[in-house]
Amino acid sequence: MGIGKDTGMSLKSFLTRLILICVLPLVLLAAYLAVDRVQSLQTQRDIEAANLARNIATALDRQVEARISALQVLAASSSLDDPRRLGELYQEAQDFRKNFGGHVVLADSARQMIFLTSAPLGKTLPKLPRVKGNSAAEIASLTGKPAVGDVFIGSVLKVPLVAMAVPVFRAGRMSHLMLSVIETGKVQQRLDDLAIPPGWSMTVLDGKNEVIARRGPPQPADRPAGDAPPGRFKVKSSLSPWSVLLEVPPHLHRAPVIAATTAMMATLLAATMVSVLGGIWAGRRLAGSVAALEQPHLVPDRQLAIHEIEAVRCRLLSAAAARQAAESTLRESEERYRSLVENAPMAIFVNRSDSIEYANPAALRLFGADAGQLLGRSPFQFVHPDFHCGMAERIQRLSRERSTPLTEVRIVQPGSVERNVEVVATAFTDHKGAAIQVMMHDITERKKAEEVARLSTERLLRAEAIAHLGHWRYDLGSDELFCSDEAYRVLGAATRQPAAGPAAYLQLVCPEERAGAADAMARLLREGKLDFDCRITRPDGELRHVTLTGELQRDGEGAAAAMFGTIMDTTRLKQQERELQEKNVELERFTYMVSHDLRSPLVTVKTFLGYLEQDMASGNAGRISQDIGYMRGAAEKMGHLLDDLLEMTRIGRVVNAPVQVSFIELVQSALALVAGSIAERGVQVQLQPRELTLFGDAPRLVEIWQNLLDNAVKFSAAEQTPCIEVGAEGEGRETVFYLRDNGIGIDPRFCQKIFGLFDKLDQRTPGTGLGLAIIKRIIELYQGRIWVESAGVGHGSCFRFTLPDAFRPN
Amino acid sequence: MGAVSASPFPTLSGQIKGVSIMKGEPIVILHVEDEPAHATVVQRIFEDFRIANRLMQVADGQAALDYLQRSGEFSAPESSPRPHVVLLDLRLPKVDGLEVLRTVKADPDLGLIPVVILTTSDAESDMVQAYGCNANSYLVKPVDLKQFVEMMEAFGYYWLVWNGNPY
Repeated sequence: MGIGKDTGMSLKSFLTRLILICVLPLVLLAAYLAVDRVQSLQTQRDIEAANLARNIATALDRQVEARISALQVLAASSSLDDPRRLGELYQEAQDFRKNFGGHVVLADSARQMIFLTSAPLGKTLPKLPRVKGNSAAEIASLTGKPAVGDVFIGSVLKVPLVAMAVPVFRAGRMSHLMLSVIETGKVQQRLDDLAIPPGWSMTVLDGKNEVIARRGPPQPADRPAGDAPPGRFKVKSSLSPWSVLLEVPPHLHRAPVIAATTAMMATLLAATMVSVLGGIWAGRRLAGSVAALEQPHLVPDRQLAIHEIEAVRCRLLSAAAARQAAESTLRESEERYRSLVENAPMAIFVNRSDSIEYANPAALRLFGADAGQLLGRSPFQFVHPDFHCGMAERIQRLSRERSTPLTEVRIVQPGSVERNVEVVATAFTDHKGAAIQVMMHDITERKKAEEVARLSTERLLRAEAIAHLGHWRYDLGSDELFCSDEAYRVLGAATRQPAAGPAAYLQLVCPEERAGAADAMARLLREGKLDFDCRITRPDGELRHVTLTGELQRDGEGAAAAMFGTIMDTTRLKQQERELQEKNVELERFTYMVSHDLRSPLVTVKTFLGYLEQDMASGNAGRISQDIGYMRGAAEKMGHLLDDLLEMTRIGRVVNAPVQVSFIELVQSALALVAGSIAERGVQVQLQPRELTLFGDAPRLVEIWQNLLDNAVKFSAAEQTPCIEVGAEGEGRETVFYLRDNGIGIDPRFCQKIFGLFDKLDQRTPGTGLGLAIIKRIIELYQGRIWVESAGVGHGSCFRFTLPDAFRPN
Repeated sequence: MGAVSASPFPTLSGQIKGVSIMKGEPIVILHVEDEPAHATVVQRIFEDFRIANRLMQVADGQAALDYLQRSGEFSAPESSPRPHVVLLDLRLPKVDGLEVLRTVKADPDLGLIPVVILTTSDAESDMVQAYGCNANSYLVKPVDLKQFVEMMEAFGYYWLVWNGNPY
């Protein structure tokens, strides 16, 4: 990151500056304080020096004062009054000299020394020496007060001296002057006794600034003038014109200041340096630590453990670690993606600007080409032309949207082999620009399988529809009932009813069977099997029979999960069952009747055989013939019955080869067979001349008319000429054949019964009672039906029948 | 076509002098039989032995009902005297014997007349059915004449002499 290097500063210099700036005020303050201190120190010293000077001056003054006081005492001595007592005075003065040191001089008002302790008494003495400057004597005589004078050379002692004069007043005027004269040396001594700092000089100056005594080295002359030059302390005596001068040599005067200043400065500097260096050092370390943040490999030797920097460092480390981890993860995932794409079973290729830039192995397989043939070409080349339009549209859309929905297209492999594929395209942008990633999934097999499944389902549904058998599944968990289309149809529901549950369908069951239905369902839950018949009323009101079968489907743990079963419309079956039942019943009846009808003649024969025996024994001829007649009749009856029975069984079982035969032919054949009885009764027969061609078993067909004619003759009315009309009405399969007679007719109540087996209306009439049953059976073989119309007994009858199957469509 | 004892069978009035112990009235038997031969047999038997005063014979179920209900051909009471017992065959034209039996027994008045089934069928199912329809008795026609005669004799004595009649 090159941003910070040219502009800005290093952390170190920043910190240094910071420290300096922070330290600066302190330094200034310290400097000021130092200066102040030094100054005060100086002032202190000056004051001390001044005090010393003053003290010395004061001490001197005290001494002077003491001396003066003593002098005054001396001066006040009465010996002075008397010149004779001079010797006393002289002695007193000598005492004085012994006590205080220094000579005493007595002088008169004319300044004439009277005596001098240094000289014996009486010696002639000079006058008081002239003193340059302040003369003690003069000042004393002038002021009348004790005075101290400047240095002078003694006239007698010939040494520098200082004098203290005390005026003696006698009679109101100064008579004498008492002087004490001190050798400056004494003063010097006194001075020497004082303790003064080395290098200082103490000077007692007289009034004319001449040195009285000096202690210490002489001061250089080039001292600035003025009363209070530095290092110079002059204190004027309050008693004398003297002054004490305390001189501190400049260098000594300055020395402490300098020393102090130097010390201060040094300290200041040292402190500053320490701070700065400390700052620099700390700064460097901080900089080092911070620099280490940027360049982790530059780990400084000793880490500065600052929480924030540590935290940042840790965060940077973890971020770096995370980034590394992320990078490696990214690499890994890229690897994985790459291998995924390479190994993907679906074709993946990249389309950049209508050119295939990349294709995975699956894509190569799908297009049936190798990389060389595929790369660089336009995908449009591999897609069936029918789908080009849609494809272009989707590519267009991808410029706006991110991906296209799943679409089906067809691609063409080399060799014109077509495959169905599902296609999904996603737009993406990488460093090379915008591109499209296309995924294709070969669904040819799937489509085939789907087709097979669809066909299979279709067939199943079709089979269901044809068989009127639907299936259903009731999920116990979700309380959902699924019914197949046929199941709905069986139940009569027009459309799928999604919400109806089993309870709703229970309502369709006829009320009296609902309990049974519920029972069956409960049994299914208990035992796992269902097989139940019931009647339902469809929503449209129609009554149908249905059979429900089912089983219990269990889940993995064996608990009941669902019920699955079928529902079948068994109305026709039931119908057939009923018919079968009826046929069975009929068969039983048939058997029963046969046995009965065969037995009956047998009974007749045997009974009349018995009678015959009797009658032969008794010779009753009339009865004999009657008996024989009955027996014969019975035997014949049995024979006929057997014949007809045989005929019945043969119908439908033994069928002659179908032939084409005309209606007229058939009727004429029949007439021929009944010709005898027709002639006998004189029956008139009218045959309608219709051109009709029938196709079937000729003898059987003839039998129909034969039988009907036979009956018509049998049951003709005695009174009239029997008349029979035979004809046909209608066309094709609907043709209705009729045979009308004017015979005895049939009680309408029994019109149906006559077609029943053995159901003769009158046993006395000839015939087995099977005739009509037989022809009914024949007619039924041709899917026809027969019925009779009669207005009643005495009104003739008309038999009608159809033979649909006897008409072949040409 | 129903047939009363008039034609074609001879009446049995002359020789038979059946007297009901109870009432002293002529005893009437209604025989319903479709087979002429069998009707003759019964007729002869009743002729030969002194059993019934009047044997009425009809040949089909419809006639039987007409007779008992006094409708159709038998509307006139003289033509259809109330029988003391009915001999009923099961296999009958027009209306079946069992049907006749049911109809008769359903009628609160006619139901009191004893009905004895006389039939060739020895099938148990027929017997059960007949009794189920409240037939009073069930006779199977024997094949042998001698047995037939004996049976009818016993029938006569039992039903016509000893048996109590509500009328």
